[in-house]
Amino acid sequence: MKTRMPPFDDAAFEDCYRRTYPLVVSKCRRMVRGHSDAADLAQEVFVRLWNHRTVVLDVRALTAWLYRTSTHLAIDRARRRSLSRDSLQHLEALVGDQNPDDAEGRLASRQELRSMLGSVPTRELEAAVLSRFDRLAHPEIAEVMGVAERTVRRLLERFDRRTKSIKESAP
Amino acid sequence: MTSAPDHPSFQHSSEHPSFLALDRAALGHAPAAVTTHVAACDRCGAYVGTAREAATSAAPPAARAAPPGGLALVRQAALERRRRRLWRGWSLGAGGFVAAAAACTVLLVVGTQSQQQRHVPAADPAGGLYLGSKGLPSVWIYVKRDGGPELWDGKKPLASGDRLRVKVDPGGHDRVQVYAMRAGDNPALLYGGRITQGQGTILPDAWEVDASPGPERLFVVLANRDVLPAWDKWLRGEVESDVSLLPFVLPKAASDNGGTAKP
Repeated sequence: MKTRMPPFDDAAFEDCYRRTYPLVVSKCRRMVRGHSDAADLAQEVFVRLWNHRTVVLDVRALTAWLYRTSTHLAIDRARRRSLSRDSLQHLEALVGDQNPDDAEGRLASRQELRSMLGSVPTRELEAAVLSRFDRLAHPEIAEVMGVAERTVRRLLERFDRRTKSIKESAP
Repeated sequence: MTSAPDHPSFQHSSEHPSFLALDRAALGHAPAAVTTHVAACDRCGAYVGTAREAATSAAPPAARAAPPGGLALVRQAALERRRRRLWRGWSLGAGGFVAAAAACTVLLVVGTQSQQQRHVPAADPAGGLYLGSKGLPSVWIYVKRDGGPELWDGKKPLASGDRLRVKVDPGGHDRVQVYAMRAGDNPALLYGGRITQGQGTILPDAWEVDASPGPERLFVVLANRDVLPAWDKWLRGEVESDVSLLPFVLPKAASDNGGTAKP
């Protein structure tokens, strides 16, 4: 639930910003490695919140919105290549189902991972990010994405089939 | 929140709550199971503890806390974006007008040359992918006292005799119910009906605040099906995933005895 913010009600937005900025940065750092990229992403999330002129009073709805929007933005930036090389590692590793710290495995198939990152449907990536990076259970992913649980299961199954085919075709 | 691992865990662990559940716990919104786990688990306890500290401390850890001046940057970026949109809208509008005028001219010329030529629809220009935020439900509460109705700011206390109107944008839902809760009772239905998706609608009823004690507690329930309230579960935070339960607590002025909205 949220109420439309009355014009110039800075105090309410500031309170929301102060309380939730740390969790948004933390969420972004699970998706992108570089702190400056994570801080940039977090700032963009709050620009969106500001532009919506909304103050979300209910913690459930607010946190769901923040998770959904930050995930959208991270995937969008990764696709537009506006993240640093370092920051792309996590999302690319997610597609390749690899440990992001496994440098050899990562470099061996970097090109394939990049092309896969561009070809995996956005909603599958969103569900995978929420599941693998944020450890969300299916009902939580359904809540954040605004879809049914069976849709979440289907998205993750498709995503797993894609990553499996990547691993099988890797040299 | 500082205790998050430096790289994501690739093994989904059902032993620990999700980061979303831990973040909610840090913001004071945790089901009993999560609270119990956080109290017993060093790792999750540290995550939630650090998160709470970062969100509430006057001098939180620099790497995680909202940066000084960050809010000003948010405002500035938002204003610049709005200016760019206005400019882009104007440019597109002006460009569209010129293009339309040019197209009319071309059509007139072509039309006179070949009146039997068939119209071929333009190809869909949408080649790119748009990533936007799905619309969230919004609720506006209007309070009418002496003058005209005012949008409730989320803090201003109500007084006996105030009249409330509720405007709802249900997002992707098409049914709305409004409940008011009296102390000790389950919420009572004030309004229920269908509503247009994605459109702000002022509900037809108004409610007057009476002089009973305690704050007003309103619940707005949104769904895409007829929902029977399950308050025992809902008030514990166990709400079905396809139902949105939006609670509002409207404080009363101290000089008032308080009250509950009545139709």
